[in-house]
Formats: sequence, C-alpha cells, structure tokens
Amino acid sequence: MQKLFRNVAILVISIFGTLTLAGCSSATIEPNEITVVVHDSVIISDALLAEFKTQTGLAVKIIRAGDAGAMTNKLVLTKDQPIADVVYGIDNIFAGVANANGVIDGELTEVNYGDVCMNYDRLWFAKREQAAPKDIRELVQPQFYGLTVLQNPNTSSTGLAFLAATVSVFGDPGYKTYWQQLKANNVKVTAGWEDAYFADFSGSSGKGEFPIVLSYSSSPASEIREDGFSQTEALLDSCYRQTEFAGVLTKAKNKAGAEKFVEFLLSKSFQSSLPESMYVYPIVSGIDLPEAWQQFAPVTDRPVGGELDLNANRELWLKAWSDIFAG
Amino acid sequence: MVRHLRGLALWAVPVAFVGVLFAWPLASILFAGFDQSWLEVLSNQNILAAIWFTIWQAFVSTVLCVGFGLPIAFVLYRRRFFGSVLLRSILVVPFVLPSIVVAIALTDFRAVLGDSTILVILVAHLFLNLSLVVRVVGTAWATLDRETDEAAEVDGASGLKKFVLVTFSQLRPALISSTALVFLFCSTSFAIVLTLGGGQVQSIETAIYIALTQRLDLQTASVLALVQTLITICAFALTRKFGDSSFAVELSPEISVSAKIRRRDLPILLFSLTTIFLLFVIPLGALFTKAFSRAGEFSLAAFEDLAGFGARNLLDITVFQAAANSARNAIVAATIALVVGTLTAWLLARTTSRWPELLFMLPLGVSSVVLGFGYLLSFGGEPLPLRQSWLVVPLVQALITTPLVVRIVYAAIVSLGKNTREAAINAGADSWQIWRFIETPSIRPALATALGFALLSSLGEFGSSALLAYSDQATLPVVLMRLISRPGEQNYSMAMATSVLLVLIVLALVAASELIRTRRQQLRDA
Repeated sequence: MQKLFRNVAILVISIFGTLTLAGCSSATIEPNEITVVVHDSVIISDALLAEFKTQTGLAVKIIRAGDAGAMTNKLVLTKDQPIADVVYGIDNIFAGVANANGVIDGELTEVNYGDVCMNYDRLWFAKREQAAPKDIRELVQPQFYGLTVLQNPNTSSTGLAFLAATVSVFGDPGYKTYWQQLKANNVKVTAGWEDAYFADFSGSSGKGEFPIVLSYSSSPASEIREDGFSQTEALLDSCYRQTEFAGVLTKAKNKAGAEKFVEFLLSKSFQSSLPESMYVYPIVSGIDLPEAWQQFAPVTDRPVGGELDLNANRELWLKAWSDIFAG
Repeated sequence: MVRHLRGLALWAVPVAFVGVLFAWPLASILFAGFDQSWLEVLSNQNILAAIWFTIWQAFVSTVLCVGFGLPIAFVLYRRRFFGSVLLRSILVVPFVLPSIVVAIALTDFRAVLGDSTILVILVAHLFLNLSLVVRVVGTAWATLDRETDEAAEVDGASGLKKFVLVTFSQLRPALISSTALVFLFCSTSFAIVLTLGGGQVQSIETAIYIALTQRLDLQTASVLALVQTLITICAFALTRKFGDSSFAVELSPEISVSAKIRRRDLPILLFSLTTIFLLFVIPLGALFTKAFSRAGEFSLAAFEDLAGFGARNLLDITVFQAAANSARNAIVAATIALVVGTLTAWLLARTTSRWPELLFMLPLGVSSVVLGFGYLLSFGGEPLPLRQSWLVVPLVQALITTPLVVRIVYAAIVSLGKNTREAAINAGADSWQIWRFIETPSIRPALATALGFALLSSLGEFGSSALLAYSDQATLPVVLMRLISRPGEQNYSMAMATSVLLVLIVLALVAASELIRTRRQQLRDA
C-alpha cells in the first residue's frame, strides 16, 4: 500500500511539475521574437524566415489556427490575451468579422489573392468527344447531369466563394433558382475541398468519377502530365476573387516587430514565393509568375463578387442554400 | 480513518486531472456562451433534427458493431486458425486513420450506396469501431473456461441455450463497457459525419463545429455541449442499469487455449471472414495500391518522398519527423492515461458510489472542438500557459483516452468477481496485496488491450493536434491533412504513403502485443 502511495505521489508531483515547468519556460518574453498566426494552408519557407531575421533581427514563431474562419474566430475569442502578434491569412469573407470585433490594430493589408473557379478534366471530355462547359450557366444543362462536384458553403471557404459568385452573377432571387437547377442536375456536395478534389474529381490523382470540380484557377498548374500539358482547365468566367490580408493584433506584445513582418509580406522575395508555395497570386504588381502558371494558371480578368458585402449577407445566403439542399 | 484519508488522497489525482484538463476549459466556454437564449437554440428545428440524428445514428451504429462484433470476437478469440492474429490486427487499423483517408478507402462503398450518405456514415462507424467490441469482448472471452462450450456441444440444443445464457452473463461487463464506448464514440463522431455527409448531414458535433468556427456563435455551441453532457449521463445511467453484474463470475485461473476450428464453426467463420474481407481488406488494400503507384505504375517514389518536405516544401517537417512526434506523443499520452486510468478503475472497484465513474465518462461525450476552443480561452496566460507547450497535445490525448482505459480495466476488475476479493479480505489481505497478487495477474490482458488502444488513439488523434500543435510539432495525421489539402500528384501519393505508414505502425504494434500474449500463454501451458 505504501509503495503504491509513494508511486502515486511521484506521479502527481511529476504531472504538476511538468505543467509548471511548461508554464515558466513560455512565460519569459523574448523581445527578439514575434509570433505570427496563420491559417492551415499558409506556407512560409525557412529561407524566407531567415531572410526576415537578417533584415530585422527578429525570429518568427508560426502558429497555425485552423482554416480562415476558425482562425478569425479564435482571434476574436482571445482578443484580450492574443495568441500572436500578427495575423496573416484572414480572407475577405472573414475580414468583416475581424474588423467588427476590434481584433486588428488599424487596417488590414492585402497580401495575395486567388480565384475560385470551376475546373474540368480536359481528357474526360476529349475521350467522350463531348464539349466541355464554357460557363457556369451551362452546368445546369442536361449534358452535364451528375458531372459536377462542389463544396458546401457552410463548411468550406471555396464553397462560400462560389455561392457569392452565383449571387453576384444571377442576383437575388436568381441565385436561388440557379442552385435549385444545380441540385436538380445532380451536383455532388462535399464538406471540404480535399474530398471533392481528390476523392471525386477525375482530373486529379485521386481519379474520381466527376469531371467538373470547384477549385482554383491555379489548380491546373499542378496537373501537368508527361506530354507537358495540364489535364485540367479552369473556367475563367464567374470566378470569385479571394483576397488574403495581414494585420497587427490589437493587444500584440511586439507591435513594432509585427509591423515589420507585415512590410516583409509585401517585399519582392516574399511576394514572388507565393505562387510556388501557396498556389496564389502576389498582390504587388510586376512580380514574375512561374512558367507553368503563365501557361496553365492564367488569372481571370473579370472576377465577380467584389461588390458584395459578405459580412452582412452571409447568413442569409447560407440559409437559402441550406433550405434548398436540405429538402 | 487513516485508510479513508488515503483513499481521498488517491482520488485527488484523477479528479485533478479531469478537473484541470476537462472541466475548466469546458466551463470557460459555457461561461462565455451560455445565456437566456438557450431555449431559443433548442427550439430551432435544425438543432433538434441534429440532436435526434446524433442519438439514433449512434444507437444504430452501436447495434451494428455489436451484431458484427460478437461472432467475429468468437471466431478470432475463441478459435485458433492460421492468420487469426493478422486478422485481429487488421481490424484495429481504421481506428487511427484520419476521416479523409477513411472516405477515400471506402470509395467503393460510397459508389455502391450512392445517395444514401447516412448509410455510408453507418458503414464508416462500423469500420472504425468494430475492433473495439471485438477486442474488448474477445479478450474477456478468451479468458473464460471451456467447460460451457464443451457442455453445450454434448447437450445439443438445450446446451446451446445454456451456453448463450452463461457466456452472455460472463461477458456482460465487457460487452456493456464496449457498447457504451462505441455509443459515445459514434455520438461524438465529427470528421466522419462532416466528410461523408458532405456537410449536409447535421449532427450535434458538426453543428458545434459550424457554430464555433464559421459563425462564432458561442450560445449554440455551449447549449449543444450541455446536451452532449446530458446524453453522456443518460448513456451512463443505462449502462449502470444493465451493466451491474448481479452475480459474480469466477474466471478460470489459467487463460484457456482457444480450440481449433471445427466443422460446426463453418457458418460463423464464413460470416466473419466475409465481413473482414469486404469491410477491411479491400478498402485498406485500395490505400496500399494508391500509395505504391505514381503516374499509373508501381512505384516506391511516394515513400522516398517521405524523407522530404513535399512538393514545393509544403511541410514544415518531414513525414518521418512527424512520425517521431507522433511516437513521442503516443508514449507520453498512453503512459499518463494508463496510470491515471488504472488508478481510477482500481478506486472505482472499491467504492459503492457511482458518481465518480460518471466523471470519467464525461470527457468522451463532449465535443473536441469545444474543448479545443476552451483550451485557447483557459490556458493562454496565467496561471497555466499550457497552450504554448508541446505537452498540451499528449495531455489532451491522455484525457480523451483515460475513459477508455478506465472502462476496459474496470470491466476486467469487476468481472474478477466480488467473491474472490471478499475471500481475500477474510483471509487478511489488504488492498495492496489483493491488487498485487490477485487483480494484477488476472487483468493483465485487459491492461495490454487498454495500453494498445491508448497508443492507437493518440497516434490517430487529429482534432487537438491540428488545433494545438505548432508547426514543428505536427503529427502524422496533421501532415497527412496538409499534404492532401493541396493539388498535385506528389502530395496525394505522399498522403497515401503516410496513411500506409500509419497502417504499418498499427499492424506492428498490435501484432507485437498479440505475439507477446500468445508466447506467454504457450510458456504457461508448457
């Protein structure tokens, strides 16, 4: 009995000891460090971080906090004890939430953008000698019955971007009619991009059953085959432009360092890394795109939806969408 | 009196563990979100539908797992044949696979079942949780003596009835324990419902997820977290009602050797093998095929890439480094869970009060998304800035796993029977001696099972690792998700290779524990 008692005492002490140790080690504030919170898809290479350190003397610690929505909401909840000094990756869907809740000190800064567009599998249509769609309006026609897979706007940012695109293109209540027709034309809805692109899309390595998928205008640059051509192509009409922002957090411990980091995100070396690392376009003009991108990932010259107030209308659109797809 | 105080002091460990790591973060979300609008939330049609769906799908999934699990447990743990150890191991594999990989593995089922996403979700729950019933019931079954089996054979029909009755009553603690676990796992199943349901099938967990991550709706999230707690309490009350063995069962002191397969076992054998083949071998085989091919041909390229950072340096650490993180977390989490869980089970077996047991069921029934947000709120600064330490991930994993260990070990101690313990007390043994000389040897198989599940559930855990692990602390499921969230063939095949790596680790772990056990059995028989 005593032996057991002693062992348990040791366990208690060690558990609480490690907790306290963990506490002490992180409680020391290092002035030469900044913490950056980003969403899960942000990639900043070690080389770039090293460059930032030589320029400013600041080491960077990166925290990933879920998708853009989860990240923004976490920042709102931890506003008074922020988990970082600076945020990068809030998109135009959640920028309103961040601003309305006073999470950001000053203004958000645009860093990069990407176009959410329908993609199709060129080979699939070529094999069947069938014409590929040219416009999202065609997706409700019988020849494309059961061929499209897209994401649920309630659970996916690409899904929400496309919903916004349809509101912009068809107006209200036209977008509702369009979605009813899409549903009648047997579109498949997935929760996230991963499932749609890799499990269902025929043009990816997952070799699914659906030749049309909701993805990005840049995705075809990743599907180049041995013949040097991309197996897929983006429909450049009715693309919604997602812009991503960076900003200093209101109660940041190291505001000066945070501001330097935002500046760095706009530097030539960071901006030119964006296509390769994050599959998005640089916001600063005059940056050369990689060759594959120039050929297979052209940016659309007519994005839609820029005029919409997402923060004010999101709930309304989502409810309309859910009503259509619940029934 | 002294003994009484000591008992209380021992209770302090598990209570502090659950209190700090579970009750506090949960309370912080409830305080932030719970207000007068709760009635409004609960009168929302969609929310009610989500609650109803959660309950009935968990119930049906559990019935399926028990229905398929019992015959398979009989075949794999009561009969001996070539390959049974491998089959036992294969069943456990899905336990660690991330939901997106499960979705990919079950592609064929999804194609056949087509529109009925709910059927696909039920199949996935069977795929994920079947092993829990099979292993927990199976290990208990393996320790029962063979007399009833043999009597049943001699007596024919009436013997069969007796066999069913006697065996069932002996297996009841294990059966109830595993049923309760499966029910709670299915009712809190999150990523599977979200992925396979296309975000359109709404359960309590997915509603919480959308409320917290997309809408910042703390009211809905906290009301739903309370509903989950209520469901857990009801499930607990039910297991108490049916689970308390009314008479003690004497176990045969030796682990009996399972019998060779016989002709009369053929139907049940065929049923089990067909299930395992269709539900496990084919889907997992599909993953292997995808991992070993590139550009349509056989290739090891994906595995060679695991030492690198993925296409365009997608990853912060290599997959092998992530595997090391996973292994470290699993060892830390499993050790904590096993120590705290076994201590709790030991204390529970010595008390008549039932509420402490409930305390250790609660963490299983509450949303990991709520806990994750609770951690952000609670452990950001003083007094416990746990959020910034790598320890936070294994600690959460230990918290999630401890109830599992408690249930498995508790069931084993209880099925040991009160008589044995009382006889020992009458003979003058104290608690420690009973534990050392009577309980420990007989619950060793249960401890091994519990350790195995603790390791596996840490290896496969995604929610808290994704939320709380910093970039160089990423675990295997986390890097897998990063790989699969980008287009391109290399990323995809690396993700598949990572899941194959997970599968192989599980197979090795389980096969090792099986071999150790059979070896010990042989030594004892010799």
